[in-house]
Amino acid sequence: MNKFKMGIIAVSCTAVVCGAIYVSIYFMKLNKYKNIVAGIKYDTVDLLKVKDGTFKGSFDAIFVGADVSVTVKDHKITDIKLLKHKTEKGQKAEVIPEKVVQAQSLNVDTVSGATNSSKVILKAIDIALVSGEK
Amino acid sequence: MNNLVTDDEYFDFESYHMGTHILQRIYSQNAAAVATLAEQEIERLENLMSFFIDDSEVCRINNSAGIRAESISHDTLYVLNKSKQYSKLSSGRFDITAGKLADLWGVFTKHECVPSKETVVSALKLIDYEDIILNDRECTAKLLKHGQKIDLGAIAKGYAGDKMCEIYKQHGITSAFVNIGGNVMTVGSKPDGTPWCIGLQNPDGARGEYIGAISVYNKSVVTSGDYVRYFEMDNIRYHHILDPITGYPSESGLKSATVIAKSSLEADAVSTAIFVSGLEEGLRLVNGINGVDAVFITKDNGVYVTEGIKDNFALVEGNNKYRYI
Repeated sequence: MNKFKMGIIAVSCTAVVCGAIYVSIYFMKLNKYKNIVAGIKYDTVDLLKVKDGTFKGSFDAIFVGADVSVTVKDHKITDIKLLKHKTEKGQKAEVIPEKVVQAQSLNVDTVSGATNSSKVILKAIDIALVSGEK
Repeated sequence: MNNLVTDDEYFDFESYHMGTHILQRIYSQNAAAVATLAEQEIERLENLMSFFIDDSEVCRINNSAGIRAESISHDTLYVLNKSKQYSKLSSGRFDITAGKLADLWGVFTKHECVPSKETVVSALKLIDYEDIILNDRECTAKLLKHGQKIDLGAIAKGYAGDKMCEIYKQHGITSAFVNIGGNVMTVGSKPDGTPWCIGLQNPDGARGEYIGAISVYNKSVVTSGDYVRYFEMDNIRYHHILDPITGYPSESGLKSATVIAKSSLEADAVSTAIFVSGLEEGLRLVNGINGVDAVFITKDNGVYVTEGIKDNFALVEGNNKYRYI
């Protein structure tokens, strides 16, 4: 086999190996992200101990990060501002063909008649309030 | 216009306004800037229309009831005109002058209570949407009788949803939605051209659990129900959607009513109206308005879906107690 052919094989193998490593790292991160979110625990914050002010909290779960600023006045939360940048790749949405479908065939974007609040956001709010507890 | 890195990339923004949680989901490179503008808009509208902010236009109108007309913004004038229109259409089942009742029952405050029959009866005398006097040219509003109060709680979020989506479109966004405390308003389709899939909250389930879903393009989906805001006294549950005709929390045989319409303001007002009216009367109302569809969930777990949305609605398997009627 000449050097050229060996070169091509070497490059191809390297490419395949790199691809495999990239994919496994992605899945490891995805798993870690899922574990982080599943394992979120909240501190019980006593608002009576939180002084007036605006507090920042941050929580990172790899694919989702949340930075929040929580304003407390007279032991009540008066404002929560937050920004979350999310780049999680979702599944393709299925067109709803039948009248009764399996839950996993639906890719619901949001729910009408109920508010959304992600665990990551709530954790960041929790962290902000803990920093205001003194 | 849109230089998306990938079609799946979206930005989520959450905030709290109008007493509830708001989620903005925008598929666009300029999402952050636009979401901020939209947030400022809902804040502006809350300051104009809140029942609880002392110098809001609503409070000024209420404080001047029976005395004088108040100058208002074009936004408030628009919402008041629309409110009267839906009151007429619903024969008073939707009536913003029920603000007097909201006051009595302490809705959304720490002082919820069951008012006496006498106070309810005298409050009913002050409930009449025809007493809202509007001057479109001067841009003023006046309540005819002293003691009358308007409350835009059943329509303001809808208006806010429309205005926020207007801002998205003005900035070239073609895929987005906003969920204002359960009021959903969508722009376009998802980036891959498929419709938005909007779940319908299970009235008896945990928050976020849905019994079915509706697929829509460019439409609003708003649900009125008795399962979120209520208080209990002497083992009786009192929910927050007061019937302007009886003065008490509505008892129409429904657990929830969902409306699908092009405008979120319309979906908001009509969902409240049909929830109070019940299935029969509610259906008549929906059928009498162009471009509006609905899903009713009755107290005995029947699900009624209007013709126009039948092909875009599905129940989820496993909700055995919910069935089509």
